[in-house]
Amino acid sequence: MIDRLLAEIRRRAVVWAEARQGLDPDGVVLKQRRCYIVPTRMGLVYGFATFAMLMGAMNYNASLAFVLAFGLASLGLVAMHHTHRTLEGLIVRAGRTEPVFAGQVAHFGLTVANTAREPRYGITLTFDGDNLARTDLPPEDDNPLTLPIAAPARGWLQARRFGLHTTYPFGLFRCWAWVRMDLRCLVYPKPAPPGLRPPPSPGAAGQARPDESGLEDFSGLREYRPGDAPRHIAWRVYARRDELAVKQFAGSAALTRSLDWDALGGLDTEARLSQLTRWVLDSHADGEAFALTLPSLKIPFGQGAAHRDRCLEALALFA
Amino acid sequence: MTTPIVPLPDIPAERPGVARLTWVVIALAAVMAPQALHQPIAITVLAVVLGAWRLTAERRGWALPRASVRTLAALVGFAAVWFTFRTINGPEAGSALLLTMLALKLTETATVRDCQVLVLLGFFVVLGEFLYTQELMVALWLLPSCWLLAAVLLAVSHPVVGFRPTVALRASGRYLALALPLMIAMFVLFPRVPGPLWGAPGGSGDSVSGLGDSMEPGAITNLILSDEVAFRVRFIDGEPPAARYWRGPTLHRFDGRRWEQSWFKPPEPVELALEGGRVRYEVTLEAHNRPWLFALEMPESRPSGSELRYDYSLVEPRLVRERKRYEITSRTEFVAGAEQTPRRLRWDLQLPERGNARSRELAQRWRGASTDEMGVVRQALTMFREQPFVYTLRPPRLGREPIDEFLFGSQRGFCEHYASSFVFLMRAAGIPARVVTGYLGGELNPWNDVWVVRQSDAHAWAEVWVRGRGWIRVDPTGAVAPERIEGGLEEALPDGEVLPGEYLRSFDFLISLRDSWDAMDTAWNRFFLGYGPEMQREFVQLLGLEPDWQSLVTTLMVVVVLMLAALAAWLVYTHKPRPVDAARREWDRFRTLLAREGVAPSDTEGPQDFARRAAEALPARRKAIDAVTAAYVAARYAKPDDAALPALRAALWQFKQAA
Repeated sequence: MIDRLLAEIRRRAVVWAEARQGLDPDGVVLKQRRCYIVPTRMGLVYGFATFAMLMGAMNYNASLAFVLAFGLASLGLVAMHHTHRTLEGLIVRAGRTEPVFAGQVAHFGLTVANTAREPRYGITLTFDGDNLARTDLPPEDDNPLTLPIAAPARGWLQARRFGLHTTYPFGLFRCWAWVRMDLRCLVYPKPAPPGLRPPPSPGAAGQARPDESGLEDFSGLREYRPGDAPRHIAWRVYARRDELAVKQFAGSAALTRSLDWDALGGLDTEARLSQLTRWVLDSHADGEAFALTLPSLKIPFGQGAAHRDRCLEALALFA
Repeated sequence: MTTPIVPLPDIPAERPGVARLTWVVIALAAVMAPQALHQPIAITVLAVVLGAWRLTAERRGWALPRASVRTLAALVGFAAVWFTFRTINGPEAGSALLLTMLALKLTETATVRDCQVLVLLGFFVVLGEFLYTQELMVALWLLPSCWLLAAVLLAVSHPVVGFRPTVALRASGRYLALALPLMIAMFVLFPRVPGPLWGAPGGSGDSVSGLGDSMEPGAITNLILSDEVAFRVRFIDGEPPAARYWRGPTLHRFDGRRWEQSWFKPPEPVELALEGGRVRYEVTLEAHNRPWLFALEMPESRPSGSELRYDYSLVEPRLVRERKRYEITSRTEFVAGAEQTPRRLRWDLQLPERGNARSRELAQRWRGASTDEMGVVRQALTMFREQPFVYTLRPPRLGREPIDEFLFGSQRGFCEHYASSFVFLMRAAGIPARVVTGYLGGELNPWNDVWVVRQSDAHAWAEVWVRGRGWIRVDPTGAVAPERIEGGLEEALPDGEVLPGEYLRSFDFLISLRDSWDAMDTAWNRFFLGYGPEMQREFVQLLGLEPDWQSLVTTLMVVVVLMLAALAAWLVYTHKPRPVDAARREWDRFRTLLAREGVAPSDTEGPQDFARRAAEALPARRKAIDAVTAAYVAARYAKPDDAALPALRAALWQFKQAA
């Protein structure tokens, strides 16, 4: 009960903090104002130990013991400033984020950059209380970090705020900052399990697919275009003439498919999208040209990775 | 297809691995080493065995012992320490317990957090040693070890750094260097309070050597074989006298074998008429667990709190358990106790009922033959001088009648034998006399002009009382071995008898080495270890501050805040990005200069193209233009380099000069 209450309070605090902080621009510099610092558990123990040593030194009036106690206290203070400095001034840039399918983990690319002439050690990326990545930055260098977040549903996945912290040098203090950037990952619908065959294309209804029947009606060669399936490349020609050619088959209309929303009557929206996603993937894998028809959008026949990605994006963002 | 998100563990929960664990064990060994010299050998063995076992276990992947085994081991360790010391209080027993538990803790060290705790315990080991001894040597070993501990703490806390010990050492060295001014400020300004906060700091009295409150044959000889420093003296004003008798306790009661201090504590005022030259000096007395202070005969002033007793010995209200520094003025000539009551003198005539009959008889004979007391004294000294008495550190053992056996038998003895038999003879002749113990001489350290008086300078002499002249010092040893009085012990000893440090004396450079070390040690003791409430008050007043704790705390706060602000500013500076834009500013200046010459800048043009155009317009200055352009390109676009910006400025300056 209390745990739930606390969790709710924490959630609202985060929401409030995020709203207050707003979105950080790409290449945000972690300024002093947003770098918080507290002692770690180890730091508290260290402080207590230093105090105990001071008491011992006072009791025995031993100069060397005073030196030890004051030395540790001073070292702690110096370490605190260094911990703060290790994080402060760090630059965070958004990196490349590849689309994923729903149910997978989105890997948000980030880059942390150090413009200082001093190294920054132990920069740790946290999200939802978990440490997800750690890196050390040499002077004037940058390193990529990956922020993995589960992507449960299709559409745009917006990364919530993440944290960056360090406990360098002695693990006595922990300095952290929250960052909320416009990090988005496109999440495609989860592909349906394989099995359901794509509908035949218009004009070729009822024809068996040549690659399945074994009837490969070779009709000629054409120049290779990016996106052509490797298995249609005429390797023998390549070996002879050192140029890539693609075999073309008679009745290539049979090799095109029209993936139609309406062909999947009886399924709900998400199931249809899943199935269409599966077909897009399969058709692409088979090196076939395909068209995608959605209620609001029609993507004409095409081939290749770019075409596939366009179709997948349309499926992901289907409203 | 789905990859689960696997979070990294928090650093403290990670496993340290062989490399980092090895560093932990090395650092702990370094801080534990000095303790091995005085702790029970079993603890050292336990620590070495468990340390080696733990490293092997890590390498071979052996399992660590179960919790029940560890608890049992901890209980056994605790019991062992308890039965050895009968306490767990105090630096020695406390350290023993700490070392035992630390060694046992090694067997359960599994994570980085455990390693961090071990390092913290390592600092406590250092503390224990510092509370036990504050020798310069120990400090010179342990303070660098603390650096190592800090480096190891950094290495275990930071995975990447951890495998590069030099990086960790350099980084932690830098942090320690930055912490040094803060530490010094705290050391100087943190208000010191006198006395212990709780309980008296123990410390075993047995381990401290010094003059006792009684003297029996062999007592001083044992002392003399020790080369330890008793006290150090720095003369401030006046010439140190040739015969430097450092007066300690006097001994009155004699039981036939043993001399003891008088039980009687007379309330009568000390009667002392001082004459002669003044000598002012500062004594740094080592802890000796007795109440007395030592001063040249006779002290005119005395350190505050101390008392000049009826026998002219200086006594502290408490035992001297810590090194003590005091300043005294002495006068070299004096009349001490010219008048004394017969009741008072009874104590200085006391002898056992019987024994040593031949000596008594001899003394009676002298008394009959002499007209006054000094005649008897002269008789005795003549006897010591003319008969074949030998001054030796190895006197034969004496039996039941030691005085007779010594005077008429062996005739070989040491200062205590001479002083003891002389006082016996005087008392037997009816002359009040007593034994005075203290130190004689001392050695000048030319490095710092400090006289070092060692335990080997311990001495016993005699005093006789003559009406109207008071107590007169008589040193019968001087009659036998006059070299002893002004030379030193080794000169007075016959050939073949060797003192500690005697070999050393035959090499000048070793002597000089020892002297320079002792000079350092003296400075260490005086200025560093002696920095307590009194010295703090003096020092703070020198700085022009009020010596009360409020002003100290305020000053300390201000100083610490200022220092931290300076540190923060410095860190901002070191973490500032390299000023690339400074290069751009120089370039803009250059373009402005060229614009004046008629080469209009254009925003769509790169530096190379601009330079080409400028060189075409001003062919005479092509070289300078090219130089500036090259320097700018290097500063702006090449790999970061600290020298590039100054080079650009220099090139621009050249360009301007050429105009």
